[in-house]
Amino acid sequence: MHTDLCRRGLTRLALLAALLPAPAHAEFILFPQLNQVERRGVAPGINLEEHEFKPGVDIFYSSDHGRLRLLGEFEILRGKKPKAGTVERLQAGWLLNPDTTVWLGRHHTPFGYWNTEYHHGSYLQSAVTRPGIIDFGSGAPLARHLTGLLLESAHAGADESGLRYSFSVGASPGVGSGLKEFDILDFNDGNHSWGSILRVTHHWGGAHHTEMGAFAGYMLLPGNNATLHEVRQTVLGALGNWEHRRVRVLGEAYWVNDIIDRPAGNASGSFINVNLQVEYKPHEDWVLYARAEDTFGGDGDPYLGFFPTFIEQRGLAGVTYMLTPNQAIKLEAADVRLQSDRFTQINLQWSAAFP
Amino acid sequence: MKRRLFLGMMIVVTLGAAPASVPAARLVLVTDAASEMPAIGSTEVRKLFLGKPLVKDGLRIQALRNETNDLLREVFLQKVMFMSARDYERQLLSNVFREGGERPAAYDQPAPLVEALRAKPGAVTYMWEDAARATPNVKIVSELWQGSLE
Repeated sequence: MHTDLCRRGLTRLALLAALLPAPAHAEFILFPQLNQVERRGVAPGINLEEHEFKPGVDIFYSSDHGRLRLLGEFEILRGKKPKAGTVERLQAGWLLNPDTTVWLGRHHTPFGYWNTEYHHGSYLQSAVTRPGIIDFGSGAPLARHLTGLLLESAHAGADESGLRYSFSVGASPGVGSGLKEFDILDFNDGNHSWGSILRVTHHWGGAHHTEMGAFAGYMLLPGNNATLHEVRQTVLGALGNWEHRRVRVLGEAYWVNDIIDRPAGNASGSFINVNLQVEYKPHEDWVLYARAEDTFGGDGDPYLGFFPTFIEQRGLAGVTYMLTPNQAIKLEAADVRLQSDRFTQINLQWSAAFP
Repeated sequence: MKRRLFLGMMIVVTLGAAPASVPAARLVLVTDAASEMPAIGSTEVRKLFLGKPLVKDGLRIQALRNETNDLLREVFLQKVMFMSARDYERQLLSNVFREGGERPAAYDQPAPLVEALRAKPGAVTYMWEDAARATPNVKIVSELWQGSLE
């Protein structure tokens, strides 16, 4: 099974490599990772293993050709569902000016902070895991990717502070057991409609990366099975990242409203999800962190019923140690609550970036 | 042949060397002597060396990292970029991962760095002022920092 998935993944990778040119100077970065997950107290009906070893690699490519910018990202991760190997991003961008780029292709949705700042490439983030609302796999209720148009722009003053805008519109995922996002190498894989997101942030200039902002999205999510026609989803939210010397605080808040059109009759629901992470750097090689996530109004929400492994609530603490300038080892302990289960989880991860 | 050898040795000796026994040092932004490089402000220099695109007067500016000398690199990162070497590398990686593009090319030998300045229109790098003045075919664009190294 894994051999077959691996072979399909490699076939997709070869196809992707053939699509991307190789100029004299281009970025080609490998983000390998080894994950060991230990869970205690998982209920028998929940589709989560007690012991999981998940090696993976994220392969990133980027190059500039005058005003044309190309970007490709491919991930292979053992146990990833529904496919072990996926084209995460495949984008062609045109620099309208140094601060504005218009992209076409499969891109990260500008929801919140985590989804664009940290995605794959685990080495770049302090924590092992992402917030449940925007997590990978079938547990997250929000789209992580759209395939279509992405406009990114920034307007900074002389003190380097200013506004950043992201506007995304494109093919949305379908809903079945979890979300099935548009596969750029397999157009017939599930149903898709369209979605759109606008995010505006204010960032403060200089060496720190403090920013705050808001976002709004509207999605039409078609059903991938006979029990569901379509979900009309509205998302509003805010994000923030504050850094001062050794301390960093980052967080997101989401309000999600869903109107579900199904043969058995329409239903609707809404919930709020928040997450807040605090990091402290006692030394250049060490980061201590803790994160709290919670969902309000999610009990019995008809849309969340499609996501049985959605993490409604989680408290975690962890430590990151930089083995070398481009390798990190992380240990994270969490208390996790799903809609119908609660368990503890330990994650041990080695991650790196080469070169 | 002897002249070219002498020139090459001069570049090697002067480009990476710290200003010996001079209490005040000046770090400057340089480009190829034939370049029509417009003025570049400190904010733009920071953006440029973080891998962000910069176009001035229709010219696409390209940053080259001068890794020929540890002290030079350290002073550039601390006084111009305001970050440690590790934070800088991580920030570069993070920017490219998020927005695409390319990290500035790094040169640990003076001669290839000077050759890259000549070969790439719009290329800039940083040097000690005295090294810049002693290096043939290089001109100063702006001063990035001056102060004591002690």
